[in-house]
Amino acid sequence: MDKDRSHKHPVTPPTRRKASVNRKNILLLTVSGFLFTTILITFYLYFAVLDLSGTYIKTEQHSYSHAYNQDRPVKYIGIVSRYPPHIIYQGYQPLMNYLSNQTEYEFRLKLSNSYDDTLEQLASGEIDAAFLGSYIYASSRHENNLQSILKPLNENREAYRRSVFITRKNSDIQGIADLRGKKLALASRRSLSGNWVPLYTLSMHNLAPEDLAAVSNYAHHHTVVYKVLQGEYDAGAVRDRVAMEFKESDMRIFHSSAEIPTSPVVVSRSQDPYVVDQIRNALLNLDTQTILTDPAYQNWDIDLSFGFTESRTEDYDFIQNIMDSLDEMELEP
Amino acid sequence: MKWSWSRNMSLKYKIIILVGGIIILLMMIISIAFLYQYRTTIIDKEIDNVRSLTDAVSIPIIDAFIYGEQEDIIPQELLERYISYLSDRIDGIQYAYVYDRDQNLVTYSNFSNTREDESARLLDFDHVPPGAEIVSIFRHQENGWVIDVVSPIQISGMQWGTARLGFDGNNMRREIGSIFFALLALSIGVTGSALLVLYLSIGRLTSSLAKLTEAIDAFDLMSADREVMLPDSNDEIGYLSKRFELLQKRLIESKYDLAESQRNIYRAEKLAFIGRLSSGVAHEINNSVNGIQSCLYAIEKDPKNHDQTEEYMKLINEGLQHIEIIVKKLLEYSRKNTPSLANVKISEIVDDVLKLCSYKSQKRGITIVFEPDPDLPDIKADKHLIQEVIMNLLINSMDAVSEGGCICIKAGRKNRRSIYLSVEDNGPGVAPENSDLIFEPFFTTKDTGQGTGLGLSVVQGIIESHDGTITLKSDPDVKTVFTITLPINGKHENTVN
Repeated sequence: MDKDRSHKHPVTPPTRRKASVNRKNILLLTVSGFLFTTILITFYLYFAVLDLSGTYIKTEQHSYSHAYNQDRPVKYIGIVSRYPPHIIYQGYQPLMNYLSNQTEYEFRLKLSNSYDDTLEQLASGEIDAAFLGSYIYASSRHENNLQSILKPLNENREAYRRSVFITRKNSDIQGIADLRGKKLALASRRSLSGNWVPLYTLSMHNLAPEDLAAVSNYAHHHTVVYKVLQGEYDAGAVRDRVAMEFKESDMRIFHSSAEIPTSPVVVSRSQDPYVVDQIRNALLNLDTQTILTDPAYQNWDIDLSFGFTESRTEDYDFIQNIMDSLDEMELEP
Repeated sequence: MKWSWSRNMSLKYKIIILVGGIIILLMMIISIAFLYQYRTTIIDKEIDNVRSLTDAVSIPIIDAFIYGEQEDIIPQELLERYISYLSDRIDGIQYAYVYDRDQNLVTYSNFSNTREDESARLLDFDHVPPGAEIVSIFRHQENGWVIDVVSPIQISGMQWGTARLGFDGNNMRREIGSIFFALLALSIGVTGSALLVLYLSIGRLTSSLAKLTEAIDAFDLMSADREVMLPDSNDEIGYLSKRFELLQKRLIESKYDLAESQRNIYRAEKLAFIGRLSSGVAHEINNSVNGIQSCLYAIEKDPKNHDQTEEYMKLINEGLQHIEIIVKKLLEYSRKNTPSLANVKISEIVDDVLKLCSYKSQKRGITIVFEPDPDLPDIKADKHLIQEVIMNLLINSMDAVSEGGCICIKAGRKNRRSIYLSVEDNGPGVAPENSDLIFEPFFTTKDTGQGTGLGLSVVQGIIESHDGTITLKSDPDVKTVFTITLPINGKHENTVN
């Protein structure tokens, strides 16, 4: 009887009871310790994660950076600032870096607000060379005793460009003669490929501006393209490279002009021939692959990125002829 | 005793602590990894934003410097207007400092309306090389966290100066704090759920084990036919239950086999015992009966020889007395009389027995030593029966030892409930093969006619009737010890007053 009862109601021996209490205490201690540690880690983590103090970026000076170097003579290249100054610098400063690296001079840009200012600076010797428009050079070379030394190449390694007439793809304009009574957008009045050549082309087809519904000028070639695409104008005339940028859009070219020499690098005929040679040789030896890959030449102006070739004064006589023709038609540039 | 975690902790808590610990550890690692990834992403994104903003802000500053160069003027006024414009239009800029390329402060503005003057943020150009960009974050006492950007005013390496702009970093820090608390809540939720699921799963597992343990505990061979409920599942516990069921069946079969074997042994032993008892009785009585028959034959042959008749009648009487003794002892052995218990002093009983035996011991030159324990308590026992026990053991020892032998009697308390009494002699001892037979009736190693072979059997019977024990420990030719133990309080209720 007692034996049965002991099976049904086992009495926990004192040692086992003690072990059980001990076990619970150890378990409690373990869990408490673990929780305490976790809370400590959480607090530590909170303060560590939210402590943001420190230096995150520290870039060193670029190898191609050019601080003023007082040891080398400084030569200035003039350019007319048709855009905000920083945009001009973005495109032309890499070329200044290149010239500085390839010659014994430190080259810097000199911006001016107008071609006249640049011509004046060339004449006075304030600048040593300049990027001039073809029309400006052609029209002022004799008066200002200027000499073109180089002209840039295009993507086809050709030293000329064309003026092109554009219209929308669904337009019924097929040729210059179809422009009669239409609205035409042109680039700057001082742009050769965006204004004078198109006007000359119209005259060659016996069309005067009055024969068209409207002829308007815009400061930039890109604006002309947008105006045509938006339908404000039936046609427009721009530089071929600009038109090619929009070849995928709803636009087509319906007429291309004769070859127009690219805008020259110009120096004063009184300029030190040594300096002129330095500039000429550096740009003639331009490795177009280098300027595409070297970060020092990043953002190099696209019109100057295919290299240069030597330029002669007579290359621009053609432009002079256009000017004369327009002058005769009383379309004075 | 050293507490062993792995030995003393229950399986349930071991699994919960180990697996739970691993889950918590993994969650912590994953959360910390995510947290730092988010933190890095948020900081990088914010730094990218402020760098882009700085680049954008720098453009008019560049233009101002270039205009200054064109017109050969100091662009300070232009820059001051521009910086002032920034404070109106762009939220989050706390200060702006502009230096020219000669490291002179051109203009500055502190938009945060703190009491700081501009000198507090003047750049140390010893640590800012030309063209270098530095973005750092620090905590301002009044405005909180600030992203400080030192950026060169430059295009393609052409540097006009340096701008230092401070941006509000508190929103970024708040975003990181939100991510921290979101991940913390997620970690707690996932870990808690995992632990709960683990706890319930392990609870089910260990409850099956507990059921199996209870079933094993409840299993009793005495009531093996009763059905025991075992966990029924297809997992390892179910497998264990099935093995236990098989073990249970084998044990029950073994129990029946054992009982059958015990019955057979008991039957064989009983037959052997009856055989030995019969042959002993026959042997002892036959000797006397043969002597009596011889005497009667001689008397019958010569009845007138009175001297012979008288002599033989004496012999017949002795033979009959021997038979009487045999029968009397057999009766004592088989009667199993209930002892009459009363308080007795073992020491006194031993002393009385020693007095009775002193003549025989002195005659044979045997030394008898009695060493009672001073604390030897009185016990409840039948004095005459205990006296007979001691007498039998003493005579047995005296018969065993040779002349000049030694017998030592010891008595004392064995434990709280019993006493012991041992009789040790230095006789030849008992051969190991006879150890099991020595307490059987009529077993004797003495010469014929020297003993009945019933003394130790009677002793064993008396001791067992007192709920005591008797053991023999013999080291042949060295010593032989008979030890009896007796309960102090006796067993029976019918004590004699």
